[in-house]
Amino acid sequence: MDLFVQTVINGLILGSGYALVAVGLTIIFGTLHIVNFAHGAFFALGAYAVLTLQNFGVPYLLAIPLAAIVVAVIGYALELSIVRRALYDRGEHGSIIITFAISQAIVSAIILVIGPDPIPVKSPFGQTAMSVFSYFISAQRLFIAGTALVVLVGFGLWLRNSTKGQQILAVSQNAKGALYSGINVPLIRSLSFILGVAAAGLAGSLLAPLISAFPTMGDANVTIAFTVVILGGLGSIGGALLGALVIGLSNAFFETYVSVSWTPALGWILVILVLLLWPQGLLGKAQLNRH
Amino acid sequence: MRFWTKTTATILASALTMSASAFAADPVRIGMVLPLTGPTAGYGKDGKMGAELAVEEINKAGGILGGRQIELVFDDEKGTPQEGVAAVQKLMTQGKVKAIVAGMNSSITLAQAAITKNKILHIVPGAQADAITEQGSQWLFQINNNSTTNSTIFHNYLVNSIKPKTIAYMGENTEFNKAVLQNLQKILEGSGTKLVEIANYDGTTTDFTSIITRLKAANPEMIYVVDAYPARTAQIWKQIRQQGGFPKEAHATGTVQTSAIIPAEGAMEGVITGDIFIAEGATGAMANFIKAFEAKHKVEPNKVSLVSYEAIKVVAAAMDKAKTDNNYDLLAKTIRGNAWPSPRGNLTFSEIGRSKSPYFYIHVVKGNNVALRETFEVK
Amino acid sequence: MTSAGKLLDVQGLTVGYGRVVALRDISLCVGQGEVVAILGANGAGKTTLLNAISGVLPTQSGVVRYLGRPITGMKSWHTSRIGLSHVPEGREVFPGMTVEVNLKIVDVNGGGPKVTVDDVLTLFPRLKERFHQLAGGLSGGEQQMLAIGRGLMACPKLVLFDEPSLGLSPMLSKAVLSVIGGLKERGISALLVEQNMRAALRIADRGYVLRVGRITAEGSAKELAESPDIQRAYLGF
Repeated sequence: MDLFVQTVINGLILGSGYALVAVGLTIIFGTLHIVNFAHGAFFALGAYAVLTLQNFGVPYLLAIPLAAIVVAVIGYALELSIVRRALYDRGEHGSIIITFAISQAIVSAIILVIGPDPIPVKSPFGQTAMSVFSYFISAQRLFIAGTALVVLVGFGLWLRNSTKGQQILAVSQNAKGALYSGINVPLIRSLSFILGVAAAGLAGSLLAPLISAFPTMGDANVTIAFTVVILGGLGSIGGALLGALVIGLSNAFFETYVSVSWTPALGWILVILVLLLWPQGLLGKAQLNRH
Repeated sequence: MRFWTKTTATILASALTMSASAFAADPVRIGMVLPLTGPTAGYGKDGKMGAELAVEEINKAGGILGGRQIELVFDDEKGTPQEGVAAVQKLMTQGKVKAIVAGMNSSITLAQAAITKNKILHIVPGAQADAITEQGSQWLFQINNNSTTNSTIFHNYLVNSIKPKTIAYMGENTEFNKAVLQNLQKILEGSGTKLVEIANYDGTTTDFTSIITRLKAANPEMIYVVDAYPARTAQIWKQIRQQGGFPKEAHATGTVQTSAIIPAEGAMEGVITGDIFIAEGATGAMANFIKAFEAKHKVEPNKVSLVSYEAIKVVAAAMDKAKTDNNYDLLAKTIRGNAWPSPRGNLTFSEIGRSKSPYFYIHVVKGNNVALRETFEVK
Repeated sequence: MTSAGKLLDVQGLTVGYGRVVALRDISLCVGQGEVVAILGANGAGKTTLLNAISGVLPTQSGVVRYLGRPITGMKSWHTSRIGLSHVPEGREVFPGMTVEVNLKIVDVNGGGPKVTVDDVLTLFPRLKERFHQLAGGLSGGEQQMLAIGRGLMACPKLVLFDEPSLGLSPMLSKAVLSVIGGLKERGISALLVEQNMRAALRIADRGYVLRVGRITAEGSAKELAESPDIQRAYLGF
């Protein structure tokens, strides 16, 4: 029973971290139809931004939102200079090559400027683990899960209730329709890209104390985020959340009770099963638009 | 007739000597492939510094083969077998190198060895897998101890000196780590120690909480982690610490460097490991090497710097002694037939190209580095 | 009519896709309070013409003036801000959003007569019943009403309608067209592209006939309704 509860806790906390990375990925795909292979690089940028800010004496908790802003600014610069010119309306194939190139460029820049070695990122939670009724919860993980929850719920409410948020959803549902509704589509796309990469940067800044900052730190997390996003339905935000929890919990249970070696395959097996049953993913909507 | 023959021979000989002396000024190019980027880029940095020190010393002392300088040509294996093979091929075809020094990661080295086999002299500085020297490559030599040698000493030490009743094993799912696991299982046979849990995780794993939960559920007295990636090593030990740790803790030999210990932020304190090198308490040639290294690079050398340094030194000394930079049969024979002075003492190579370190050290992580716990002579 | 009195004045507009010229040297105008119809067969370039005026498509040459000011090449999100709405062919509503959100998502004020959500619901009572349903689940006619309502939410002075009766039942298409015809009483002008010639000319003041990218005839609705040229245009000669 103890092991079961501990596994549920592990899975939920794991899933909340995946959700942050996956939401950024799914928003960018939804509105821009870009498969953002540079997502992991923005994740790393978030971690390095925290690191740099800490070197200037900014405390960790303040450095997190600032890091997300720094990543947003870098993302906006890349969006204006490369993504917007090269990618809009060019389909998903071109986007893979170009975002992959951006990813390589960012990783190389980090290596050149800061170096390849992993650097520890300090957090006020340190290594402390809380022992609640004999269950271990790392304070940093709890903080990550809490922040992810607050950010995701806030973001979801903003998307549903603000006009700009609704316009992001509108562009992802029907970009052509948005053009006929007075919506500034390029502006909404920039905004989505910035929000998407800022979410990746935020995730990087939150997870950095657990995994240290190193140039390719985003790769593994983004691979999982891809399974999460495909499972939940590309472009669906609710789907990304559900997918993250499903993958987080199933990974935790599988690793604890079945086999450690097979866990990475599990995500993709789930993806294949779900896609066989629901080709749009768990919450991806089939187009209902009747003509 | 005889006169003409003699004259021709003389002219030919003098022409050859002339061209030989014309070449004497040309440097000997040695290609070195390292992970300069990617997850093990720290090894690349350390290895490059070691090799550069060796070249500086050799060239300052007048070079080799009658005054020829050594020139290092670096290429990046980026931590993947594909890039590792491509880098070796590039150096062999376009780099005009006379020898290849390559191999930190065992799977990458195995791929590279297939390319260099019967083509060029290949010195492997860091990689430890037994298979590297078991492929019948006559011109390949391994500077580091092979995995079985190190593991056998270390596992025996764990069983006989630390004496845990139960061990839980976790390691990345690679051929190299499986060999370490098999060695452990063999040594545990008939001992009082039982292996109660085995977790082979994939290289893409970022979160070890569930694995550690699983291992803790088996309630072992000792955890034994086998992982060669510094960032991941730090991460695993942090997560172990967050879940309360284990009574006894050990990490695979030859893989614990400051590049893992520092990012672990104290989480590796007290972890037992081992290696062929330790800076602490060094004397003689080793102390001189450490001093020279620190003077040039302003940091303390580690095992990776040492084996890279030695690899270059062995290539250079062998070329000088055999008086050739491209007769690889002769070079290989020379390397096998002689003892090569190194900071660790004299290095000798077996028929299949394996070297054996004179000493093996048991370490324990202390602060930002490892401290010496015990020294073993390698038999 | 002087240029100043015209709401929309198009002179010598040429539009192409790559090397293919879709529209050649089009000139037309819409006066204040007018409903103007553009008639033509499939592929005559009607949709391209509207897209070029509203800024969804780029133009090659020619000038589009709106209230005397050149707006050629102005993007669609800017033209809607100065009172030019476009109700596109195929409705292009947001299928995963409710009727309410589809209307409220428009945050543009074009400076024309004020239109509120209540006004739209009064105009189309069917939308009131469907107010909280997803647009993707509406019938074709209801989606068309929604698309018109969305176009009006930007408080336009001029609305471009692209085939508003396409795919609707005769009864529904009559209802939709009568709403469009009634807009001028509110002070909103309309440029209407229609295949249903008779229905279009019933609500229009004037009209143009478009044939393979060129204007071949123009005149009052009455003149055009009687012209044999029109019949030919529809048969596509």
